[in-house]
Amino acid sequence: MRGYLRPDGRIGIRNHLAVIYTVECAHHVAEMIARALPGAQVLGFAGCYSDPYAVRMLVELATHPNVGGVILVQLGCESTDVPALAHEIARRGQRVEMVGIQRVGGSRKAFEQGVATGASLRAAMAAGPDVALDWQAITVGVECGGSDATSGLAANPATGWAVDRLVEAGGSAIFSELPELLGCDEILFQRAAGREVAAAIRDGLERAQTLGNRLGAFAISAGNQEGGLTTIEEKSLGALSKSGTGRIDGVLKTAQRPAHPGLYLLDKVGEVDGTLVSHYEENDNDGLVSLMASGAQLLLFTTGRGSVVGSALAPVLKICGNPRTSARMADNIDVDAGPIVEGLATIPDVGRQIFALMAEVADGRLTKAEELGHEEYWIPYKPGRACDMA
Amino acid sequence: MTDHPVLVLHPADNVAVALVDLAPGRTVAAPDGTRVAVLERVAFGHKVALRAIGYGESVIKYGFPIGRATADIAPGAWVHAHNLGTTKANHRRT
Repeated sequence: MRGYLRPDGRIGIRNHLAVIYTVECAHHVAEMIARALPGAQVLGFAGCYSDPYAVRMLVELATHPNVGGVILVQLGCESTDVPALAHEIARRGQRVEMVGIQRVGGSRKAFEQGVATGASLRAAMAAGPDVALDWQAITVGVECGGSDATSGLAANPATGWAVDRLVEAGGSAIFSELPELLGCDEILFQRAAGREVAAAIRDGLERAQTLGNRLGAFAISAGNQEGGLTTIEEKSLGALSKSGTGRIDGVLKTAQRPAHPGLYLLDKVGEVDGTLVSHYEENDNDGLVSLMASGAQLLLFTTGRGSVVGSALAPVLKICGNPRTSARMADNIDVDAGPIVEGLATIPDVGRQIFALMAEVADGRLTKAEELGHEEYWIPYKPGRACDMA
Repeated sequence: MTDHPVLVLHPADNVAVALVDLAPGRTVAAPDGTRVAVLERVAFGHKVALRAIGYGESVIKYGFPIGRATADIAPGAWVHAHNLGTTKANHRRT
């Protein structure tokens, strides 16, 4: 495997030029610029009123190892301090340029400046992967979405098998979604690397349960239930298996990265004692952004009912445990774990397939989501302390 | 696949997962060998009771409780939101 060495020592598995708008009013111009720079990725924050969570996400994504250069597209009157944002991104060693729409005189001029800036950034970025890559430099994020009863039987345990092998090989894996681990308490405590890790997990589970009760609903959707999952405990026990069976080395807060290789649980659930209660995660793309903000270069996404989402910056591998869905949505599914449910394959059989594909994708092979141009991202306001940041 | 109409994930489980759409009258086997006649339609991925589960008793899947019975459940019955509820809620939701 080969990758792209970044100034902070991390290694990317993609070499994206990111065009980042800093308010929704600048979104269209960012799209215009990116369309003229094939392969450039658009992302951004829609809000005008600056938000600590959103600014932190923009910094983490702009300096993500899969990014080789950044254009910030600002309108000019948004509250977010764009020069400070650019300064922080540059301070971390990233190539970054600003295009101010009001400053340069409107859409057309901003477009022209953006395209010229993009071309010179591209010229400075590596033409191809320039450094050898091994698993020790890789962090994989694991997410599930559109779960059904097969998720816990096939896609999640097979993904967990690959996660176990990754960690054995010296890599790192991050799983998240604490509100979807309610009911796994005892298993998580047993897997915790020590008393402190177990205490951090307990604390997170308690906040997640409080959050569910305050919101009046747990993280189980109508589709999950139609697919045969009845309670949050049932969904959770299935979801947990995507983290494999190994020791949980630590608990990360939002935007915190693993200090050492290993398996980590990302706790995004903030304090829920205040009057302002909001979801810790609005949707799966919100979850994928969090995993990338904690350094994941490659994302494993398990499903049963079927999901199509990708990510602007990190390749997303789709693993589906429902054979009916895998057949119906074959265009979107990278690994069909359905044969496990049909009794035609074992969990290690499919796990081996996932691990082999992870190596190919890390080495440049495109995932189905990448081929289809699925380049989603989601950075919402997180009011109150929906997410505690590191 | 027809040889395995249901999957029992753990010997302690009192429910099985349907691997096909189960029709009433179909028999499925519990881990101890007991044959259980399915009482009602149980869709692919949904749960069927392997034995009688009394009101308030834990429903066990993966060897762990996934909630409590909110009604008496007969062997062969479909187990879902109408007769199974979470233990995590202060509110009455799943």
